[in-house]
Amino acid sequence: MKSPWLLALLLPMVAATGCINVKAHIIVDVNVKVDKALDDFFGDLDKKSVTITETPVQK
Amino acid sequence: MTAMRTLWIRLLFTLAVISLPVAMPGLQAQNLGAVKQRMAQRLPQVDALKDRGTVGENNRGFLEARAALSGAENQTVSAENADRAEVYSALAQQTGTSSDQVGRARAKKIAETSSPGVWLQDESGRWYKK
Repeated sequence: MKSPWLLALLLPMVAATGCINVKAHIIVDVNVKVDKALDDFFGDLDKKSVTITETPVQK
Repeated sequence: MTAMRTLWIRLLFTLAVISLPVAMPGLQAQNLGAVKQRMAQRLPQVDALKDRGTVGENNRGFLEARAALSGAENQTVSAENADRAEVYSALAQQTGTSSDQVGRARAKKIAETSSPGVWLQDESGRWYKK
């Protein structure tokens, strides 16, 4: 008798977790896309710049 | 006869509207090519300003004055920022994001790869010399 209630309680939680996961995936994908687009455009310019190095420089 | 002509005009207009999204990326790429060329020509001046510490890189991916600039220097900064805005806008369209998001991602990359001595603005708005 308890299981339908339990199911009703758990189902939205599981669905919400799935939504969060999908959203996180989309955000990561977009960030990767943006980084790639930036590298494609600025890659050559950054190589020529004397104030930007190819490898990250620590503070 | 007039009805036929109107039909043809409508058909051509519809075709033009439909083909616009197909032609747009090509036009955008041409524009970006010209922007890149301008930025490459301007690079030595921008580098010199950053190297002297009179200009820094803010947290939105744009140049910002850190000291008084001459007229020519101001023009260089304005032209560079206008071109950057155009690039961010085009890349935002390409990736389905906003110009602001693209600019902030660029600022992050610049902060990571800048040489020591360059003025940078962190995400909270604080300026520091790398």
